[in-house]
Amino acid sequence: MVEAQFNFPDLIDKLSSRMVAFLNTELDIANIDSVLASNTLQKMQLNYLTSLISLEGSVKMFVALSYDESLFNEVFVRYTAELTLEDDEQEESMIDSAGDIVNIIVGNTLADINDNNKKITMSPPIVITAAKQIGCRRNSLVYRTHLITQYGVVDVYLIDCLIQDRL
Amino acid sequence: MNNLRFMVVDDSSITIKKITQLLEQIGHSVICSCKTGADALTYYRQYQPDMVTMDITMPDMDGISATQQILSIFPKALIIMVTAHGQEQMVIESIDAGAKGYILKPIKADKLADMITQVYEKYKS
Repeated sequence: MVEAQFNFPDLIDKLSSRMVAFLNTELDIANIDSVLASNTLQKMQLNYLTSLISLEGSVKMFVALSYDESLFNEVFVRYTAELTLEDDEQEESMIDSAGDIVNIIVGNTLADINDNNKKITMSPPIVITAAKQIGCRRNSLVYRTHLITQYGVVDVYLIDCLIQDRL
Repeated sequence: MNNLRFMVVDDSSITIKKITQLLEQIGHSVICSCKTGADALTYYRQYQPDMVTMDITMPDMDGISATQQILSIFPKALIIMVTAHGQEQMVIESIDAGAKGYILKPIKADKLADMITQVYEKYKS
């Protein structure tokens, strides 16, 4: 059984820890509260901006970070603080920043995963705005950790697609 | 080690800016950048940089394939993978493809400088 090889609750914990560490050490956003993950969701309730990556190895899954507007704006300002951005670069820069961060969180987390030395490939990130929810098929498991900062919230999602194309 | 001329390959404009800024901080210059693996070979041929930073995950052609293509034509190319992908298997695959080093994002200036020095000292011709 492929699903026996992967510990999804452990993975959502690792992803959430990486996200907290990134906010803390890279962006100096501290005092983050984490609300227990859930695996009983049938849909992802999306916030202002969501960045998403798919992973393929022995199993296929998706990871998403969904920010509310106030937190993402703060994250963007801090992430690009040392860069000079022209006015016409703002929109692309916001998309790229969201993509960079999910790429870093997911990619770094892969260092913590021992999947019997099988290669896990990451898709390029996708950034979604103006969407409200993504529905998942009945047998998918959607894990979520709700991270609360002084600037707003970000939800870390892990969607376990036991069969391809479930999402 | 003199000021080296770099090519930066990454599909994120923000990451290109960040790497460029770090390279300039540590005394190097970026002579070209591109956002796809396919462009990397074209730009390498045109600019002949001293060293390349290469992302792995890109939309059209991944960084490992781009590295193989560049090295098939320019076997002395010095390519450092700069990527978020931390899985050991991916590091091995990158080195097998001919990359001379591997740095994990988020990038720190000191680690980048150390890797550049290591690669330059080991492979300079």
